[in-house]
Amino acid sequence: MQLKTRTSSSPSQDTLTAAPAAPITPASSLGPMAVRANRRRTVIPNWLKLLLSNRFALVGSIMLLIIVLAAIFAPLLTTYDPSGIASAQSSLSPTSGNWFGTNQQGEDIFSQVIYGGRLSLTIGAIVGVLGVSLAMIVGMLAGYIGGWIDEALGVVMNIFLVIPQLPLLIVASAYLPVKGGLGMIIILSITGWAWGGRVLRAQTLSLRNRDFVQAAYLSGEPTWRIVFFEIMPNMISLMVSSFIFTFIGAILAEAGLEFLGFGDINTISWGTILYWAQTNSALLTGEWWHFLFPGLAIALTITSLVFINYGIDAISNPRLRAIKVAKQYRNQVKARAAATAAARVTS
Amino acid sequence: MQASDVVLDVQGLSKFFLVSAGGMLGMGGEPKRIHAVEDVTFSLRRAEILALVGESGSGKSTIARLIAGLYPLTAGEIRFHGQDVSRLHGRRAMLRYRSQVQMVFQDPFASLNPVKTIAHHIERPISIHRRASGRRAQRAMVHELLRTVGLTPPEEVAAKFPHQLSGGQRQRVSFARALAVSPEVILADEPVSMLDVSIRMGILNMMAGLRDERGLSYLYITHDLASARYIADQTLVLYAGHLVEAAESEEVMVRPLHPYTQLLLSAVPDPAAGLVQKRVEARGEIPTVINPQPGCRFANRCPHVMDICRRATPEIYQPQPGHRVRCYLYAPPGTAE
Amino acid sequence: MSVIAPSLPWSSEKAGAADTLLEVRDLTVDFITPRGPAVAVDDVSFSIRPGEVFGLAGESGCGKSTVAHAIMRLIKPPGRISGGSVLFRGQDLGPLATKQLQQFRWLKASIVFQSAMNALNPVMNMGDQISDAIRAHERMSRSQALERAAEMFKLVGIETKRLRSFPHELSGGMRQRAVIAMALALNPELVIMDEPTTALDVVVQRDILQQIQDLQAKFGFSILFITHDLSLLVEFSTRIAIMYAGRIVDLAPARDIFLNPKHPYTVGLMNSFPSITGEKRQLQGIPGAPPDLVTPPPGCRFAPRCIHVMAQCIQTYPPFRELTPDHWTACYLYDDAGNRISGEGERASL
Repeated sequence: MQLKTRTSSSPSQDTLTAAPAAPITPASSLGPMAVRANRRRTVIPNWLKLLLSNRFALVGSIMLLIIVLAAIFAPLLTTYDPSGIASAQSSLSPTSGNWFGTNQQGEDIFSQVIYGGRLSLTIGAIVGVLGVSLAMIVGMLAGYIGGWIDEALGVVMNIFLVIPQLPLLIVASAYLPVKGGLGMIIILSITGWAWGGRVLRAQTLSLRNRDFVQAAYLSGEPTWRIVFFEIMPNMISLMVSSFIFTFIGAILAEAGLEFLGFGDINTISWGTILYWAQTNSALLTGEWWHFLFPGLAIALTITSLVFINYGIDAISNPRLRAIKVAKQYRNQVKARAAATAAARVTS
Repeated sequence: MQASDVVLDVQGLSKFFLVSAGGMLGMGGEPKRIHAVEDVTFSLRRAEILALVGESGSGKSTIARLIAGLYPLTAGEIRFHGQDVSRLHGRRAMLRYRSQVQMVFQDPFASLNPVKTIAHHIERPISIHRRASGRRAQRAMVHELLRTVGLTPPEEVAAKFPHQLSGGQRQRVSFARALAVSPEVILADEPVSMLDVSIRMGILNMMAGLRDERGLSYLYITHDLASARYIADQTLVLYAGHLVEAAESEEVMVRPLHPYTQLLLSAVPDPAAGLVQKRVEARGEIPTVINPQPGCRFANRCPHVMDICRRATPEIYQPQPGHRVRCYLYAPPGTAE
Repeated sequence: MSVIAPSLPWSSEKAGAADTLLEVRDLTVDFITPRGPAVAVDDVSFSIRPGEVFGLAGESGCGKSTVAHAIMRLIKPPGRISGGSVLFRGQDLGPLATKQLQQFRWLKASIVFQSAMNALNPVMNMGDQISDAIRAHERMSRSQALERAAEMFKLVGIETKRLRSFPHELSGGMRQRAVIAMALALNPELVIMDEPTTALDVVVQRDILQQIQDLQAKFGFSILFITHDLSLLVEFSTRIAIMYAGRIVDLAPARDIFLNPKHPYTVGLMNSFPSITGEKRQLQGIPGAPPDLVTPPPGCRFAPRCIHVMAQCIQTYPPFRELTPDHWTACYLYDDAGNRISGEGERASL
């Protein structure tokens, strides 16, 4: 009745040996975090290679690295105590002794900026991590489970999105028992996660209906494993982007709060330097170095983070890579043509 | 045909999706439901391939998903070896059913997780259902399964990522994953529709081979009648959620009874028919069945439509043994007024 | 084998073989990839006569869509036309500036893309979309363009009141008809259709194809019909070209391709379509996969999968020759007179 097949012990229907000679290398993949050992002894993860091959990301990474190292190794870079009298002369414009000049109290601004970086960067990074973690948990749960949980969490996210951040920060910091860095971290994390939450929820929703997730479900995978091991690895670039923008937001918010005087004005951070610059009317007295350098520090840090984010975009979007490769190829062809022309001349 | 031979028995299966609650703000009106599947009955025997043929909107994919347990059914029964599986309680029962009935999806690109290796895809079901314990045993089983579906050398394939394989290879991986739990039934939802034409035969032959070697049963869902004839023992034709014809595949192709089946057969381009140009009168399109009126759903397009066809939905009649049709043309005399 | 019908009205005998509408000469298109250029279309030559249906068949990655884009001059980086030319009624399209191309596009030749029905603007109604397309290429007032749109809808069998509908309100078949109406709006001489019915159900597909035939009989345009469904082409085309890995391997009238396929790939392809009627036999398809286009094999591209492969197949690419009148093939299995030179199923020891 029905056509019986010959014994299917001829497995070479679709063997790899007939597959394309050299499959496209993972350079064009979505970047799994697999570490591949090269022939050389150094093991550079592919995603890192890809990231650094993008010019923006490279520049941004170097900038950020310099700033972070400067903050970490601050004692090595300056002998001055940032809150101590640096020199008898106050209000010095930048000189060889005081690279960024001194303020009206005679404190060295350069020391203040690099020591201040410690607080600003630390707060920014911790808020970034906490914010993304919260966004991840809420967003993925809401997106995957759906139903009333999604509705409820959606309401929560909407509330936090609608609340104006800075006024809340001001009010909260005025009444919060925990002052200083810790208080700032708590407040910034609480107000800064909701946007990321929405984004991650949307991405989870779109991934959850994909066949491979249904297949995992049909294999009997428990829900938590599907969320953390099947869906989440596909959202890494989005989470990193979210982290970067939360980081940026935290730096700005922290600086803003400190500038307004709502933080602990006795600590040293970029925001407090600006606060003192404002209080001492640095603009009026023409002491431009008092606010320019901390402001520059904030701006450069944020710029470096944005540049790194460009790099991440390039990894996740294959189209951008293709255009770049086309340019590379054109340059290669020109170079080769020039080389052959030169060879012809010399021979 | 032994009754004990039946693996999957589906009786009166129906699935309605709620579109809107109706009325103002969900009150006072008649709820609108899409009758995606209505009153479908069939049985699948051991080592048998049953083709569910239909166009888009016919409900064929929904039936597969209902049997897989991806959504709850509205009415009817699904019995696996006599046991009702339409409402499974508890994780253990669900896991057991999953090890007996598996599914292969249509899109080879979306069926695999792009950031996981092939080995991962196949190891997970092995691990969850405890088919092998210990890394080494699991790996060996993964390689064995890859060999079974014709992907060699298995060590190389297992380490690859989905984007490094072709569509046909990916689909074979999907089968390997389904086979990892040693199921009795595989629900294949258009497994070759998105593959290149020259690759399809390889996959279909592989499916038939597994049926012969392991006694595997398939529910083969497709819109392609020709491939249904090629590998399926039985063919069921669906139209707008209704089962309209069911018989042995050859019988359906050679002696189609339902006017819709006849229309389908005449519309398919058939190289073996030579270069005869067929002219087909094909009025209208498949209706979306929201709160349908009683009557045959094909009535608006049927060349043999009668009065009664619009008044009441025809029952399923058996004009010949083993050949079921839902059409008044074959009603025993006296039933059609 | 059943009775062969008398010659189709679109057969080559009737279409004035001496007159050429579109000529593609040695067209080569490559795409830049991270590993180097991938040659998607390699040295492809064919011509389309007025009033004929020219079928271009092949599987994914063979280059058939790229040919269509190249003809309409739609190749963008990272792709580029690196060789050959496209002539429309003898005029080379290569050096044409954008303004002149605008005269060519839609007025002389139009294209229906794959899944065009899914690419309709979701926030504009159908009438606006079609009149937009019309007015982009011909000076007309909005009301005139809408009138034209209404005419086209009538021609393709859609009620004119649907001009006010939005794409999501129409069924798949209707959307595809609308897109075809758009393509025909300015009465082009050539219509390129890239997999126009692939996403549609079989009955709707047949209906639309019949409609296209009627329109063609009425207006006399040529069609370049691109699809992977060879069985469809055999029914609807005048001539068929089979593409593999960027090259044409078999080019002949539809009847010849069906009755007398010469290239082993064509034979394999015909063996991949199970039939509804006729005897049942086991089909193998074609095991293996298409070659890597960045580093294609030096000889015949099909050699790794060919059951008749011989030593010379691996060394050099077989020339594309006219073996029998109007039947061109690139295969070493045949001598210049068109006779088969080797026996059945030989596999050279390699």
